[in-house]
Amino acid sequence: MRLSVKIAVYMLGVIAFAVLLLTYLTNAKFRSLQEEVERSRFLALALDIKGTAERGLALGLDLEQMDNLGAILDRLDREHPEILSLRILDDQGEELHAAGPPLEPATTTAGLHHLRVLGEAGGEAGLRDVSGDSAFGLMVPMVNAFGQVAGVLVLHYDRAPAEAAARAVTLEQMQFAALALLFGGLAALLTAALYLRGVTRGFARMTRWAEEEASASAAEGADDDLERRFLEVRRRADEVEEMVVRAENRLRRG
Amino acid sequence: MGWGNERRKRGLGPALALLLGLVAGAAGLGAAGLGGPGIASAQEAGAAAPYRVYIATFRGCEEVCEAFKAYLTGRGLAVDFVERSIERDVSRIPELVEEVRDLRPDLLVTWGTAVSLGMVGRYDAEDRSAYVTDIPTVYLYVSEPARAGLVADEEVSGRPNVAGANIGVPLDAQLRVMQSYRDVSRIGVVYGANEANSVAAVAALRDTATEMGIEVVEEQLALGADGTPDPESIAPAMQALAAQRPAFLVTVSSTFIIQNIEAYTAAAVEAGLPVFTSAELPIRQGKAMLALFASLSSIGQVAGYQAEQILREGADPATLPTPSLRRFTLLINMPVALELRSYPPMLVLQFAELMG
Amino acid sequence: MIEERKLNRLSYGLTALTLLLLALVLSAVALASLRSFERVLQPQLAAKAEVVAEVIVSQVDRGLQAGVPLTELRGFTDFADIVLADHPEIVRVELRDAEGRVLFASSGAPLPPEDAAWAGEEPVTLGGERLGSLAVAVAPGYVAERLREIEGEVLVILLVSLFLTFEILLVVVAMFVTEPVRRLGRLLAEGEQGVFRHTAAGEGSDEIGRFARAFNGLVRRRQARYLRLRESLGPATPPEIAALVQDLDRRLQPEERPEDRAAGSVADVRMPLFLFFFATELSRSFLPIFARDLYTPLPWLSYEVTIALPIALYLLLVAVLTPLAGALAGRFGSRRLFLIGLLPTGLGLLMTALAGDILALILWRCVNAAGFALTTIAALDYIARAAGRNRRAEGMAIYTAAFVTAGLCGTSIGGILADRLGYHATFLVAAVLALLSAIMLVVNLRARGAEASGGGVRLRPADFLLVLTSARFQLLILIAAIPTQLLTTGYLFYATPMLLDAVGYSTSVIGQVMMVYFVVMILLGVPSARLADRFGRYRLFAGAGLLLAGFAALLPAATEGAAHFALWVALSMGLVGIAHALSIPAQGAILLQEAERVGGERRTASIAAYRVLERVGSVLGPLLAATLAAVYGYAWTIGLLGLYVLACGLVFTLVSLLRRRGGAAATN
Repeated sequence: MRLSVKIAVYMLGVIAFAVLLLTYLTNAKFRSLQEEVERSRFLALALDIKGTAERGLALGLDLEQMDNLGAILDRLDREHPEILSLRILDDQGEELHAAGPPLEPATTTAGLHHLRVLGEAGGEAGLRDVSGDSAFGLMVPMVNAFGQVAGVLVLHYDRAPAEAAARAVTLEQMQFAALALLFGGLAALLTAALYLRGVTRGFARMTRWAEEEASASAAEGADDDLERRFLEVRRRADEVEEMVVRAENRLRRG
Repeated sequence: MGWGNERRKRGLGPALALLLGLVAGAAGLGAAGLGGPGIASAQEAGAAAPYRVYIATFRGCEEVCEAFKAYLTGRGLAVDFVERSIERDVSRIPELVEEVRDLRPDLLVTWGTAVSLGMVGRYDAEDRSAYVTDIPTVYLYVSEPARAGLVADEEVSGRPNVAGANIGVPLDAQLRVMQSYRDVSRIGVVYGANEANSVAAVAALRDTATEMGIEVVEEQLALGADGTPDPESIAPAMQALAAQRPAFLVTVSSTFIIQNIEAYTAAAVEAGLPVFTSAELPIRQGKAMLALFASLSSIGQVAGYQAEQILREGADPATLPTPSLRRFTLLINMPVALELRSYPPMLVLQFAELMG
Repeated sequence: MIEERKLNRLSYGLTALTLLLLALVLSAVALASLRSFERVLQPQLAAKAEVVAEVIVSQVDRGLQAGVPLTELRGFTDFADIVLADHPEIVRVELRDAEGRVLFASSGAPLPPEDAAWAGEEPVTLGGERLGSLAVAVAPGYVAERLREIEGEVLVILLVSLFLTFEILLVVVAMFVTEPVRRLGRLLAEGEQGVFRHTAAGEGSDEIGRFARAFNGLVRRRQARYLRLRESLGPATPPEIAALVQDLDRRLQPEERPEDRAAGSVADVRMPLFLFFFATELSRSFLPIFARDLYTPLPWLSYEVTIALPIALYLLLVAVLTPLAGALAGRFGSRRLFLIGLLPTGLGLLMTALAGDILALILWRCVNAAGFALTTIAALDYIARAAGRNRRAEGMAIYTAAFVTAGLCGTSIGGILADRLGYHATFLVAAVLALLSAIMLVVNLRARGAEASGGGVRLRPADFLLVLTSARFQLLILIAAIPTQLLTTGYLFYATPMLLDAVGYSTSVIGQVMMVYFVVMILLGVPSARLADRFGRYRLFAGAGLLLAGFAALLPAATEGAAHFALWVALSMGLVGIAHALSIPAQGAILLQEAERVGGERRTASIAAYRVLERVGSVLGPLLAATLAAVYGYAWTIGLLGLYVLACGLVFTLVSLLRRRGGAAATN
């Protein structure tokens, strides 16, 4: 393998390391950004409902009595296809209003358990993530006039299209990285070869001189240290050969 | 480079936090962990024998009392309610005390300051022979339990067998709501100096307002021959107050004002004064424009919460933390607002109930 | 052009080329990625803008239905501003009338039309009549702006790539070019004298290898002819050609020279050593935090001591085991010692990745320490042997360079990995890297250069006593070395991650901040040492370094709570780096001087004893820092350490000045 190739491999190695790391970092950032944007969209909707409900709670109404909530849930379910289901549950987990098909009870139970165990007093901070296997979910508590959690709103949305898009982006990134590395590798080869050509050409020249049995004519463009020295060496080698020949001749004669 | 803001922030609806008027300054007071045992399972209800709860009311079981009962049954408690009304006659209280001593209910509930004081007495009373002392008691709809002498401290009753809730709208919350509606540097009051509670209320209002940099101007109603205010003097007083250009006219606790609420508020609107009130009546029946009050249902519910603690969890009333209401109803009378061309800003609209 | 000297510079040029290519490739990848991201995210942002518009319109509707005219919706700006505060990607909201004129808007100047993406326009209606519309604008460069949050980490990648490239290409050029040419140079020197007894090693497939083969062919042909001649001579050499034959014997008799076999060179061990140090440094930016997270109460020990224990015990064990390892290197040879040392390292790192409580962590860190001591001593031994007597300083410089460069790369990359993968997974990566370095070592090391030598220093208690009782040593150790070590481990290694973590910075940022120290050390280490040698004012440098370090340690306490606190800490790190670059080589030089003066025959032993005692400071560092931090908090703990170092610096400088004056007076 040529010298420039060997070196280019290492150059490419470092470049690949950096490219891989950069791709990984940017991809991770993209995914978290994508998730954040999507989540905040549904959170905005959920908080809007929470505001409406809490206005009624402050009046002393029961969540159950607020029929407009059911209509709101239905409307949202219609208008946003990625919403899988919306539920308003009372503090004991009973369904009061619903839109969309029922989901795994396990995820909502887990969220309710969270709220129970932690004893939410400051309702504003009580957003819970109830993402299950099938979907991402938000659980937002609705708090009555003296800070008690009167019920929760559970919103589940489908992440499948977003995840598919993310996978597509990852694939694109990897393809581009591969392409970039291909070009980078070629460029590395080229530039390394160019940069090292002084060295490689010099050695190639010397190799030719070493291989020729006929003694090389002096100073064929030898213009630096090693090559000059080698020519000297070649001369001395020829001298030594002559010495051997002389010895042989003497031996034959004698 | 991001080194200055690497921390995570979670801002959830700062709008919720902004309108301080709706979240009482007593947010510091009030029970922590209110939601804790709050979410309970319904299975426990069927097992136990029903609790007996004795409710003593002033004039029958009205909205607050109904809300109280609904809360308990809604939480899955099996309760037998025994309701008694003194029909506005305080002399009948000793009868009820007797009955309670005989019946020995699991919980006694007293409605209003008069009934509560009558049945359990002041916290510092020496002679307790006329009072119920050994039955857990929850007082309902008492606006100022500490000032009335029912309890010593607002945070915890400290009295054996007496518990309740704080339901007043703090003055600073009221003023902040007014400020969120429009620029307020001056507010006005119109009242009769004959009522001690009015005078006290105005003094308290002045104290808080001064701390917040708000001036309070007043017009006294002319007193008639019997020492009570003359209804004819309302309109001139309003006009005189309006000349001083207060941002709001604030109602104060006064029997006269309540009895003449329609004329009172109508005169204010005539004079171009928006009326702010911390009670429900002046806006429902009168032409008050802006009201911040605790809804009757929530008053009942919060007392029900205390009752639940005592009955179900066996909590000790003396050490039970006294919760305060934190969310109040903000009500805007839209026809009046439109008439006065005092349009509510959007932030207030967001949290207010609209009437009319 | 093949001049030996110039060949060394090849690596610089190649490094520059690689970095250029790197920059191009990375830019291309980054731009392409950004395009992909925007393609996916813009629609999502638009959808969100629509939702926000919906939410706002519903409130506007309430007002309209209550009878408020559209033009009288007061406080729209305040309201919109609050909504916008929650949604940073939305840059403006406008309420427009039916003709499109703007009635109200969120605060801020109106946007030029091409600047924003107006998404989510919702009509505002009342009773079926369209009164106007609400428009929401998304910031066009939002995605790019959010991506910029990782620019610190991208900088790390660039910087690490810079140093990695430099290291790797240095090694590669040495391996493929410089070393072979050096060997060929020796042969050429002989050939210039007419001697062709030796052949070149390293016949290979690249240009140099082919030349070696051709050269060997040249030599072997003549040797073969000579050998045939010799054979035909028989036992008796005819006298007339005896002289000639003798001459030919001198010139052509084939000889195998052990040094011609590609002898062990320092380059062999540089990459694996670098990888090894890289693996151990991966955890530098979060080890104390990791210990704190694993805390379980231990009997008799306070909380603070317990969480500092993994680090302190590690340092203690390294200090204690290093002289022992030196003796072992004499017995077993460095190659075997390498392999022996890599087992505990790999095992320790793996088990640390699986550690569940602090006791396990302490145990496996101690195992790690054993491995570290063994491996580093083996490396030093090998380097000493391979570099030969005359290039020992160069060998040491290579060792130090590998250590500091790996420290830079490891600390920063470790921070990034820990941020993404978690602490345990990062230790797993470290274990894998340690394994890799082991494989590399096995492949690279020639048995030749790693024989047992029967050397190694045995330390006697007398050596320690000598160090402790000599006044000059006392000054150096107590007032210079121990404070320096204390600050290094207490501040840099222990308190910095804890402080930054307490303030809320991510592990990634912590790694970047600590990286500054290493960068400074790399850049200034050699020049500063040369400067100190040039002026010979070692005490001045040492004292100045102490003062600067002390001052630098006051910065975190002084700037506590400031915005961009991390930048201040990074500055402090940089200053400490400068201080150490000034003071540590100078301390080493003073040590050599004193050892000459006082140690006499046991010079080497007294140096070794000194080094062990110096480590006392490093062991105390984390323990002291942890205990102080419980009372004063991390920022002030660092400040207190800084004050102590400052005081020591003053004392050292004063004493040195007085001694100098006394000495000058004495010589007069």
